[in-house]
Amino acid sequence: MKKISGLRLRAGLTGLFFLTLFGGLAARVVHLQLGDHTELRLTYQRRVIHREDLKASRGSVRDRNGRLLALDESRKHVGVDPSFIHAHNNPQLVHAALSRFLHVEPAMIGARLQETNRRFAYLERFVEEYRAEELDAYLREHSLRNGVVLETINTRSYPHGNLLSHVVGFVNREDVGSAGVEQTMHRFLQSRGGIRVSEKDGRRREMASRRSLQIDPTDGADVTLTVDLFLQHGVEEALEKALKQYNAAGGWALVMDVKTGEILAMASRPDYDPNAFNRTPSEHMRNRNVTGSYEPGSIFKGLVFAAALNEGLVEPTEIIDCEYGVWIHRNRPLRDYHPYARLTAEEVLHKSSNIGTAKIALRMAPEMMHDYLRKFGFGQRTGIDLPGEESGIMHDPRNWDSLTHSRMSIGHAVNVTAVQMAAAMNAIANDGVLMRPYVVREVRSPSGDLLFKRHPEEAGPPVVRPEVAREMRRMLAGVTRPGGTGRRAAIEGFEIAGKTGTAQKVLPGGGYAEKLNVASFVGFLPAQNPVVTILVSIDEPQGELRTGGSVAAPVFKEIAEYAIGYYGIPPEGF
Amino acid sequence: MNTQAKEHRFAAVDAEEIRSLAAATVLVACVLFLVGLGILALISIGMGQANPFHYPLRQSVFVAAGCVAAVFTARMPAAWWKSLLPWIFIATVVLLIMARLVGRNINGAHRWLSLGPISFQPSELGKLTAVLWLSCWLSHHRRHTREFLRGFLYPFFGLAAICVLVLIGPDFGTTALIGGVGLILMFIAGTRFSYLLCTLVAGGLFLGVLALHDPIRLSRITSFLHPEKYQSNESYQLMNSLHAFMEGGGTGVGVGRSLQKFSYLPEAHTDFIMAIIAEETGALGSLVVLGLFMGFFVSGMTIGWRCTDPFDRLVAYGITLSITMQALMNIAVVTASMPTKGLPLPFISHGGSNLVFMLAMVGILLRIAGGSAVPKSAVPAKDSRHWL
Repeated sequence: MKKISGLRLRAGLTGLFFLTLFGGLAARVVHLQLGDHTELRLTYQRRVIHREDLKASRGSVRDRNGRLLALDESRKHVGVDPSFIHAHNNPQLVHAALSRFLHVEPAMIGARLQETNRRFAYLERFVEEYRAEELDAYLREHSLRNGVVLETINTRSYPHGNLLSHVVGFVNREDVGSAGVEQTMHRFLQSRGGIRVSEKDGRRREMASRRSLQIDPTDGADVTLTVDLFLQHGVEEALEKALKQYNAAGGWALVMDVKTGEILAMASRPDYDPNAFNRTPSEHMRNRNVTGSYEPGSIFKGLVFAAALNEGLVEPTEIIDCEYGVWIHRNRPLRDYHPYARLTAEEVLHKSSNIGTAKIALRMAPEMMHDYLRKFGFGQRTGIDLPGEESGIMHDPRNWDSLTHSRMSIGHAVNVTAVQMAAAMNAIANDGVLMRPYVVREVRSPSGDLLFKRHPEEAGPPVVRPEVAREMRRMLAGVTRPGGTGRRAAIEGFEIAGKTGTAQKVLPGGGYAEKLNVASFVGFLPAQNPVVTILVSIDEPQGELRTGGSVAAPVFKEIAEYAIGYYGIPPEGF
Repeated sequence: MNTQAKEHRFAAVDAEEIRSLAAATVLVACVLFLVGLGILALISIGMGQANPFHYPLRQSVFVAAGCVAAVFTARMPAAWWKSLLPWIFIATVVLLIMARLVGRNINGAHRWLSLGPISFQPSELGKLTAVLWLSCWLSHHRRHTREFLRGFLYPFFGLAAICVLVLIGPDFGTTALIGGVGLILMFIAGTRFSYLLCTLVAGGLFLGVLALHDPIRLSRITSFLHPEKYQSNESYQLMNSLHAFMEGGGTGVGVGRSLQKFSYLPEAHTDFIMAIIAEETGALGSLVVLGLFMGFFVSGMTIGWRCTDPFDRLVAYGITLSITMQALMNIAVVTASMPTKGLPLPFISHGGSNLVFMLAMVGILLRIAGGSAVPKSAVPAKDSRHWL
């Protein structure tokens, strides 16, 4: 064997050593590339996978003429990266710029900017687009933009604020409709968010060429209401004025189209601004037209009268003994506001005599009267497309006590909602046919396709015969004539049918309050050929005159004048 | 060339030389493959970037320059190197000091000298100088390599001088590379193993203490030990590199489809190019690269083994070890098998002075491989080692 020199031997050993290193590295590479690396895969996914929610806009809410009531608006959250600003920007100048454009305390901005160990802090949320743009332009112009974060978000906006707030409702921070139409029509209005799964590069930018999944978002559908914003404005103004004048605790009013049951206006007090729903006491959010039930008082009498008339139990001209203001019935006195000796049945309605109405009502069997009132819609929800509707309380005749029959006929011992009351009165105006009230007219997709259209709906067979309804309209027109309780609702040149009501409020512990009442007026016009029904109730008016005739009738008159303008109703004899 | 000389040449080609020439052929093939692979990788990295052909075109220019340099070095006889060695050594020292004083600062290290449009890293020259110095000394004193002074201390001084100057760069990676290759070369030449072992331990401790006093080095080491805990800079890159290897799997994500090249690995075209190759071509590609480097190593070592000239064979071993060790260190770093070092992958990484020097060193290897075929008469008779 050839002898190997020492040098070659050492070179050979070195070679072997290096070949071992090669082998080791090859093993390492193969292990890395073909092995199982659960933890490494997790960090990889955290670093590389890009997941993004794609946002879409919620549908808009508009009045019947397309005026925007609720829409999604782009806003900006303004934040800062304090540590970055201290390292790469001028904190003093940034502070000055931010203080100039943001509506927050400069001291607060300063405090946030001082937190140099933080990488992010919000300064102001939901900044209007124009203000954010001004801030952005200013910062760029002065090269102070680095470290200031503007985050675009969609937010719900209600351009008309308090106007119609109870009907429109609002959307909570989770984008769920939480009141009004926003709640009932949420399924149509809501947008369907999309998702994008992709990869991002080392600077965390999404790479369009590496998208693995994209589901496009869908905008929500647009809802059109039956409400007319101008009429609504008139109603709210009239109501507001009365509330101020009588220093009342609250009030509600609604305007309904006679033939269709469409709600043209609906107002409730106290009210709120849906843009600031989170700073509003929940009591202010109640739409008292549908969620509040109350004893209606005398406005109820017309319906009882219509029932008796339909059964032929009363003649408009027959004389009723009104007992000089006090009638002892079943050992309890029933009193009239003004004492009368004898009145015709028609006059009982005009003067709103409790005794006369009770006597007529008692001619019907309890079951019969209850049945009629039930058919007029009391004791059950009208089915209006607004959330939280109450059904009111109307007891079954089996549970009536000795006085229920007579008291219910004059609007006590029964709880109704304003929308029930207006719908029932509307049935008289509509030849005895009860229409189901509604506020949503139609829903269209973002591309304009009709998704839903509401058609007028009769709630049941006619409650009274058309000629009875006509006779009732004639008699109710007398209420607003001289000598009637509702003469303050009269408008020159127009015949207005209606009924006043002054209901003493039930105290929480039982019994009636002496001074607290609800003053109401419900009616329609023109009396003989009605097109619009209006209800007004003022809760707890203060002062000497607190009756429906003196407090609610003038509000009714004001609203009726708006309605005349809105419908273009010609005066009598035109 | 006259007929007599031709005959002389053919006669001189014996079996040994044929094997040496075969080794040279394999070596050239491996180098060409690696260089070609490098340009392909740079093209692939360029895909999807703003200026896709920036790096491949520059690299091609450097390859051309490197080939010219290789042709030049392949024609330089050993005697030429020996006679120039003092000047090369002085030039190395001066350039390293200049780099420290006026060099461009990249990542906290002054490694670069700008010569107009060309940037030049004197530490590259340091690698060659160290090999030439040790080869020259140890071959001249080959009868006395077991001695302490002539076999260890004197050659070590030269090596240590270069190492210290590279270290103040600061460039730990190249220092470790030059020192490591130098010690192995001394071992092959015959220096006592005990001396080298002591030096290795002392040098390792010295570098370790320095590293502990340098926050950047320390963070590199701690992040190497626990890459998942340090989510910034060094460990960030290291994790991305590991992700690239993992994603590559067996056959890769496809050429040009690397994700990590998009700002994840800022040095995708230089130090971390291996990670991109692994990601795009999988274990298959990684093993091909390793295999080509192994081919280079084996053929380089064969050239040294076959060489009979005492100086040349040490130079051949030295150059082969130097290039191979740099490749191994680079791959070890990108696979998180050792702490991060700023070392490019030979022949593949984009980089001017590095690539030109690598190819120039290959030229020297080729000259050595064909050296015994050169008639003795072609070697200058004058002994140029008068300065030793």
